[in-house]
Amino acid sequence: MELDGLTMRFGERTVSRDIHLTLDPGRVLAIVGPSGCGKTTLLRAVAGLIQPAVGTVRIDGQAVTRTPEGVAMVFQHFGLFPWKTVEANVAYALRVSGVPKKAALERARELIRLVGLVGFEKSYPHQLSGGMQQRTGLARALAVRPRLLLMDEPFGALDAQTREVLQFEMLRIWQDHPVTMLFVTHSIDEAVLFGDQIAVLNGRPSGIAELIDVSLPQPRDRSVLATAEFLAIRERVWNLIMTGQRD
Amino acid sequence: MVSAPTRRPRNLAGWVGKLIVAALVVAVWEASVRLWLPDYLPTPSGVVRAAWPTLISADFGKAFGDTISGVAAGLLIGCLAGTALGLATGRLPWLRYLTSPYLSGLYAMPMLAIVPMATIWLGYSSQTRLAVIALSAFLPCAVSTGDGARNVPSQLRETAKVLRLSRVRFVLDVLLPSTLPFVVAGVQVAVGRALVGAVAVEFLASLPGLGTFILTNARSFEQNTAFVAVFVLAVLGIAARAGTETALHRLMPWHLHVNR
Ligand SMILES: Nc1ncnc2c1ncn2[C@@H]1O[C@H](COP(=O)(O)OP(=O)(O)O)[C@@H](O)[C@H]1O
Ligand SMILES: [Mg+2]
Repeated sequence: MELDGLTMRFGERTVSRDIHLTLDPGRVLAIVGPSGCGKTTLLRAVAGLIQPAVGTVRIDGQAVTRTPEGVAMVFQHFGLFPWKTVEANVAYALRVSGVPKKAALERARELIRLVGLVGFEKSYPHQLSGGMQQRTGLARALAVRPRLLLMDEPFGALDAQTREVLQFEMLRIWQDHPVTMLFVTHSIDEAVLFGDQIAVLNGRPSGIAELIDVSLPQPRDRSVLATAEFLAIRERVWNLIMTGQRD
Repeated sequence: MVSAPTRRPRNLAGWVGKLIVAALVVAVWEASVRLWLPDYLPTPSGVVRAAWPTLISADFGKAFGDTISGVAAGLLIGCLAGTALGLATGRLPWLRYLTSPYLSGLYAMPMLAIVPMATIWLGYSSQTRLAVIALSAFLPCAVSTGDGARNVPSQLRETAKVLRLSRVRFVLDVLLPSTLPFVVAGVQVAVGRALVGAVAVEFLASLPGLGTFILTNARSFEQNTAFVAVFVLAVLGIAARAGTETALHRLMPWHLHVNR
């Protein structure tokens, strides 16, 4: 995936300017920045939901005009169909990509097991907690074996504890099922935890302040939080964001 | 869990309260007619006594059949057409732009106002009743469904785009289910308006049916009998409402959670 000189505008207002980013297969790029700096807008451009004012998004060399095949997205607000059960929500993503009914259901059950929702297959989203709804969202996104997974603050709508539980569970899942991922968050910890590389957004209109390589070893788990390198990167990101705030 | 035991007595108290109020209303009604008012006025005991003979009488059966068949046919036509137009206006902005002044204008207008004209266009016939009922049902369905269809939550629109849904898939799998609660809401209003429309047309155009049954009996001082028909209409309205509510909860347990 490649963002080539992306400028995003809403009417007269420029949200972000001249963004260049590359994401290689198998890697995780985290984009971190304060709320309102245009992270979601950028991700929506990558998904082909909106068009940039200037610049091009390319995925496997193809300019994006609508969501390309093999790109899945996890939304901050889950984006589940309220009239479908957990199982049906997950299976639906497979069905519309051409998987036969029976195979789709089997794969859906497999993913439901993976995200720890066994026993809730027939529940409707409104009967589940936020954390469980997002597990469903994850299962749906992973079910199609995407070549690119877009995550828009996937744990942002959850309470602190649920958020932490799901973060580490997602890390574990990612290690067993690695997928190229663009991970947007305003949580610095999350960015350092997931990213092979971190793009720090700051300023108004926002731009990339710095691209930081995270050399923390994979696989990562909770113990990473206490390492000197984790803390050092975290501090650096924090300072970059703060500098942007002062401008 | 903890609140369960305390809720039961409160429900029970609620029911007892309702029964007491009902008993009081009935008692005051009965007593005031017996003590002070002319005795051709209906009384609760009179209505109860008249109930069975009325319900099994051939006159009532015919009137009931006339009205109900008109209401059923009118509802079917009006709701289907209204829902279809509502879905279309929800998807096609130009159609909404062209039709919305008429839809909202007619929706706000009392249907009774057109009955005198309708009798001239369509005659003193059951066609007039059918037309008025169908129109009464059509409008709330078109308005409510239209509101629902153009307000598919943006989160679901985005999900649909990311899933690369075709137009047909979007309409069938996203637009229709997210609009369904609005369709049901439209139908609920339609049922009430259809019953009102039916009775009103029968009054104004002297068509055979429950409305005329009520009118004739009331005028011939058979007010208890007339009241039985009034209650039947009320029960029909309540039953339709309860039926659609139950269907909504059974078949669409998620219906309150579409727009958040
Ligand atoms: N559809 C829109 N129309 C106009 N302005 C928008 C729209 N979506 C987002 N914005 C504005 O763009 C800015 C960036 O929004 P967003 O990308 O959601 O930020 P983030 O995800 O980083 O919190 C915000 O100031 C927001 O008000
Ligand atoms: Mg956002």
